[in-house]
Amino acid sequence: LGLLTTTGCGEKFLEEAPRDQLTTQNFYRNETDAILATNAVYSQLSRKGQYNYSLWGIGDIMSDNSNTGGGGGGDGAEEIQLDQFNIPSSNPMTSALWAGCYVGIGTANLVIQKVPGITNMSPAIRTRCVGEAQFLRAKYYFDLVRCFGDVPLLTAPPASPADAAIPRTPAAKVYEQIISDLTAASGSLLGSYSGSDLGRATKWAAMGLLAKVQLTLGNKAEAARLAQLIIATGPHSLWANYGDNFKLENENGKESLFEVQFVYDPSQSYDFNHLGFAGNEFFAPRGQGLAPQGGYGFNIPEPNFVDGYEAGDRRQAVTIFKPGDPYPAGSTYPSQPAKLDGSPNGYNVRKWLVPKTVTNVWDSPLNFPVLRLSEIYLIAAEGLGATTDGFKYLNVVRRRAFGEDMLSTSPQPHDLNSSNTGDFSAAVLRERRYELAFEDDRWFDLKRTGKLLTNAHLISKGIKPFNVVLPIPQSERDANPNLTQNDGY
Amino acid sequence: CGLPVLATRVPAMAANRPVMRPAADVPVSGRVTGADGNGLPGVTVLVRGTSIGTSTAPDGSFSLTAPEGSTLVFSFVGFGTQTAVVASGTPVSVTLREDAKQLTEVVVVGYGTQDRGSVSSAISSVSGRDIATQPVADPTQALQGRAAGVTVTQNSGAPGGAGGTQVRVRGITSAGNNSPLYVVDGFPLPSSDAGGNSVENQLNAINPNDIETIDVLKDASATAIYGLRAANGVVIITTKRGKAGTSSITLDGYRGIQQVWRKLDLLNAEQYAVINNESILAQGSSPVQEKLRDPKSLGAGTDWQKAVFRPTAVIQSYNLSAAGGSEKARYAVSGGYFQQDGTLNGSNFERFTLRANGDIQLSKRVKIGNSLSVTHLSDRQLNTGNDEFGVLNNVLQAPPVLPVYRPDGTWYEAVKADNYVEPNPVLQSLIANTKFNRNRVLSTVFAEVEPLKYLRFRTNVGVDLIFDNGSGFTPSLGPNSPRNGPGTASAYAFSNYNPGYLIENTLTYDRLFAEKHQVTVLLGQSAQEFNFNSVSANRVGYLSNDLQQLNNGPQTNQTNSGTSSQTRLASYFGRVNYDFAGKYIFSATVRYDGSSAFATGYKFGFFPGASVGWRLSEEEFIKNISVISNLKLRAGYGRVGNPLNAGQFAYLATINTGITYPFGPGNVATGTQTINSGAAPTRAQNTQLRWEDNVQSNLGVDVGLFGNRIEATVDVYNRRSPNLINNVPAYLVTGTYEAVPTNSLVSYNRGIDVSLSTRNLVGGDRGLTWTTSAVFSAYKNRIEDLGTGGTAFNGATNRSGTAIVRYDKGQAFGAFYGYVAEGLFQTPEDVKNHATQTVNADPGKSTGPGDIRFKDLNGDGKITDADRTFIGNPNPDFTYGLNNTLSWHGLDLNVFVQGSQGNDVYNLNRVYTEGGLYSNGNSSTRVLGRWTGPGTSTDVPRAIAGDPNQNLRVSSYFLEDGSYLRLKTLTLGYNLPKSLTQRVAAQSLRVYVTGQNLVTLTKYTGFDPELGGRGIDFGVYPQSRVYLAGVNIGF
Repeated sequence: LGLLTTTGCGEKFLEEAPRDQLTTQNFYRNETDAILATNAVYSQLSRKGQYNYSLWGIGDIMSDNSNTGGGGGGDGAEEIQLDQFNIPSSNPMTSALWAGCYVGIGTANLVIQKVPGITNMSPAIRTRCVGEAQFLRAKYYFDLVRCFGDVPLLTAPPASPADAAIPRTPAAKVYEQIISDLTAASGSLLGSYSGSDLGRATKWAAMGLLAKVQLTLGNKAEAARLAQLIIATGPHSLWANYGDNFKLENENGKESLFEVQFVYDPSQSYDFNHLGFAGNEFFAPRGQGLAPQGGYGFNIPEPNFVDGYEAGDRRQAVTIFKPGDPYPAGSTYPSQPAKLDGSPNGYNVRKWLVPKTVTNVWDSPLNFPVLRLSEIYLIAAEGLGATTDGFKYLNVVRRRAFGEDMLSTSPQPHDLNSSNTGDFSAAVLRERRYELAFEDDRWFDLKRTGKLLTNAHLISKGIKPFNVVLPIPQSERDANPNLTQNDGY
Repeated sequence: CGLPVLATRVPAMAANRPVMRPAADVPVSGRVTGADGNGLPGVTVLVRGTSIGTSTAPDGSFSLTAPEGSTLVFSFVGFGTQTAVVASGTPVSVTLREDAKQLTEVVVVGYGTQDRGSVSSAISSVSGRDIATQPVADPTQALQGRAAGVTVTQNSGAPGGAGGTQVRVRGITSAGNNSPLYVVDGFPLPSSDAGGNSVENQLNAINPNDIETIDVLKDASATAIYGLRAANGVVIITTKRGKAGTSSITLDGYRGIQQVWRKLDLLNAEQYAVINNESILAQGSSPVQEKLRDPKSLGAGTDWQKAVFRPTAVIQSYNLSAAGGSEKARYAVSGGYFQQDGTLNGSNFERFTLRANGDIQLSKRVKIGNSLSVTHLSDRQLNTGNDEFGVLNNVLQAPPVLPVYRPDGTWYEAVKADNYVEPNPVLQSLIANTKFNRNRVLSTVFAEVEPLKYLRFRTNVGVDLIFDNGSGFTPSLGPNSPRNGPGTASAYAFSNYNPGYLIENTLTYDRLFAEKHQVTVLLGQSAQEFNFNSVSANRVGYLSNDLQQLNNGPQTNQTNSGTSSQTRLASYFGRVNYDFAGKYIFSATVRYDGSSAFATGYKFGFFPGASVGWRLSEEEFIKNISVISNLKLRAGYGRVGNPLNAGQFAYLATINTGITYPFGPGNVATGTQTINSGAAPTRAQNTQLRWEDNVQSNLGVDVGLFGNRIEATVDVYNRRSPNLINNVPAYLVTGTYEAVPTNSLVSYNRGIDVSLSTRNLVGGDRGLTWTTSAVFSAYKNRIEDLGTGGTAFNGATNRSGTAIVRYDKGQAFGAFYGYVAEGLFQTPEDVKNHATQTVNADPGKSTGPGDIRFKDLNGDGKITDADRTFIGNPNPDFTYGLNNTLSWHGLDLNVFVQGSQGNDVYNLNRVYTEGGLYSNGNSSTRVLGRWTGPGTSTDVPRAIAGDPNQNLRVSSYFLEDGSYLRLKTLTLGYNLPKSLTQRVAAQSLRVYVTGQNLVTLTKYTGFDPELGGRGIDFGVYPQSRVYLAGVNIGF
């Protein structure tokens, strides 16, 4: 009868923890947990909200480099909305970017909050994990702020969904956080990895991204300083041939500062969230049998882009198909026809094409570059401006494109100099357009240089002043009344 | 009021008086009758001041030995007490009169009992007598049509009630689980399994014959005493206990046969071939199957229904029970055996039950007692309804041109040339050697002490031990078998152990002050724990069918799993009842309830309830109206909870370990890289997640007329759920993307319950007696608000994952969602002039004449997902039950009718019964009326392979009226005259025949309109029609 007291203390009696599931309460306890948590931060890179879908829609199709293509009719409706600047707040590509970045940031925040408190692990791995998370958090915020302007800035996991329903943070504040994260990461991350860690973020990746951020903010001197530091002290070097950058055997190669790791996914599935790159299938000439499903012919290079290649630029054959270009082995057709469904001029992106034998439905294994050394050269050039060194860095990239001696101290035929170049900035921007073509960069370049609204091609496509930022996803505004919409949407 | 079951069920006792002088014992006999002159059975006859006693036989007669001159006290529940002085040689004749004031039907209210007269909340009671008359394994099935406001649906006709019984008290208030709380002899049973899924078949471990009463607490003022778990009502099951001064031994048994009450008219082989040929030709590409070229030569073919349904499936039940005792010690023990074969080949159920309930009065102030129930059940259930690959669906699909067996007697399995891939349903129902066993021990032990006058302390300890295990072996049928070839043989085994524990302590103070103020105060505490443990394993690829254990299979192809979880509840509660002069009744309840399933700080809730009653019939101004024998107004209000949809630990963010990303050097030849695991939560935590609340108000009136020959109860209620759980789409800034369970949805459910009972004819002893009781229930529910961030969400889907049910603001729970079908296109112009339904240049692959026309709701000229709308409501307008009992001489006749009106059914099964129009499966004969040219049909589409128009899409075409009226049971019994019963040394002997589900009136075209699962017919195991004969013998 005295049992009254034994069950009297209710709260204590009800203290129960799950026994058969991992939760935020019983995870983050050792080195394995820390590494697993960090790996998850990377995973968004290869998915829908980044390089597998959103970024080529925004970076390529929404720019003057290419248009939608595809099968016509309702095919590629979301790309067409971007392509023609008729962008609803429900556009799947912009919404996916928001989602992918914030999911990446959420996982990064957990690592940054939880991992420093794990005592049961190697200090070096602990530092690395936090550094990787900081680098990736900066990368995701960088994409958000460039696409949407002011965005909610969260640097710690919210306790409940309501805690995340904050107003938009001014872009300048977001940039401060990005710079702070990248500065920390470039101080703490390793310079290189080997073996099973190949592909993780290095200090050079963090420094390179920081240079790009500084350039975006107009801090040219700082961008140039960082880029030159990487060129001078980093372990990277340029491939002799431009095309070597986009080969399976050269993944995580000498020119690469950071790239998205894609892998052949054996599960036959039509999903942008698999581990392989869907662009192989989407960009391959439509119905020509170069990709497992025959190719969908999206992301069609614009005539204006194709016509802009200088004669002798070796990058053209690597980057695009033109009519008559012979097909690699595997196709039933000999060469690119004069015209294809969705591609009236017979142009297609070639850069990411992987032989059918090693790829699967929507799942190509070829990694995708985020930062290559050649871009660092171009950042250095842009940062330095029309100076001797500025021309020097720009010409290294050009010399490779034309098959000239990159290191020669004597002038080369295609070198630019102050006498043949009136507008140095325009020259660098043009060079970036061809060097980094279809690496999801063009729209961002036009935006940061203020050229979006003056670009004749984009004007012809109907760009409106408010299109310099993208619409905040409506579903997010439904959940958070504090989230204002960008003007015009 | 407020007395525990045991105390009130004991007949009223006069105070002990010393016997003044010893007297000689003399035999005394006599007869007790009611006011109508009929013999009253079961009346307690006690010698005042002693424990000597007996009870009357079925004809009201009694005999005992008592001291001459002593006083006999005759008492019977609901009747006034009478006395008679024992005089040697003089037969005693006593007439007991019913008295509204003395109509002390006792109602179990949770942690106590109350007289019906002093109840001010809404409680329906069903007596054990009504439950035992029905041939059901699960006692809750017997509530169907007998308790107003309680909607009972058998989920399937599977034997043993194994498909579960869906009990809904006063409609539906949640998009999730709406199951009531079941309390058996004071032990609240687990409402869900480890996964939070509702357990609707657990009551089939209880022998219906052991039940004394089932009391259903319906409104919140009644259920609030069970707080957190009470939102869906509380079903309190009380088992039989011994009565002082009586002793009885009864033997009950019945045996019968069952058949499916309806089979569907399916095509024979010739008709099948005609349709199949036509559909393939319409598509315009494939040639006609060679063997179907001459339909006339095929004849009737295989009748798959005949092959798989048992013509006469056995049902049988035997119970032996004994009850009795003295004032000091009372007992009720029973043993039961129930066995039921399914109407589908290969399904069966068997149950053994043992019960031992005891009460011992240790001293004037101390009493102890127990309830013990031990059950073993084992069954073999088939994968039937609600599954794409179920036996029943395959019965409907299997082409009649295929045989059951090959000429050599082995199983026939469809081969490629048959253009048909599904399994042979007869083989499917029999192939696997499977068995499920459940052993359940449910036991409570209590001790009661009265330390002071009027004060009673009671402690109750209980355990509920559930041991489940099962195993199965699917053999290989040899190298020629297309589906069950070598290497497919597999075995599985699993074992669950789910023990639950309860301890509760209550203190009751019960006192009448100044002869008018009856006060009862209850204070209590309860702690309960549920555990769930399971392990399971399987192996595939047995080389031989001889050894079927797990160990005999290859270790290279094995899987196993194990889980364990626990939930605890801690509760504190109190109740005050106040009754002034039997006129004004007040009751207030509060429960402070906590569950381990929720986050710290959100574990506990406060659940209050209160009700008032006014017995107008006790007022002088009514008392004079002789017509009115009882009139009471009631009003109640309370708040209760439903934790079933919150899930355990759902507030936590679960780590998803399946997030992957590759690192390391790549392999150029294969494109591979090392794929690393990553881990992160993919759903935001919501530590504020709590149970769903339900705020209920109730108004009721009880009326008794003409000495309670007519009794009626009417209750109206309003149940509002302010914070139902909705999975709110993730707000991505949280860093997660899975929808978060959030208390956000708002709904209401309002309705009316009516019950009426009349004694139409009150004949003499052998005259005609006729009583009628009826119940009527109606409710309406609506989702009022989806909450911040909440969006409409889908419920049940069809086999391709398209929603059939959608929950949206302004809609009823479970509303059907789909396209609106508007007849058939008759001509190519019709198709052309209508919105585009499918785009394809090839007429064999696009919409054509004879296809269903779907309404273009948004007028955009295209039929798209946006043209779907709400097309039906599975909630009935009302449900009802009507029970008539007639007796005349020794004969008794009981007719019980029950039904549902105005509910829509989505007959998904027609995807199969009309699927033959579009594929190689069989169909019902309805397709013979298909469209074959302009004007040939307005309702059955054309036959065309591949269904290019998607006629099978979710649309109003498949919606049917699910109303039905069912003659649920019809029983004719005969009480043998005493002269005959005494020859077998029996006090009473009754023989009877019963028919169940004899007549069903419905427009519904599927197997059975009685459907669980919210009115979607996935191919339900049909109810049985039962014919049985039985006997009750009392010794």
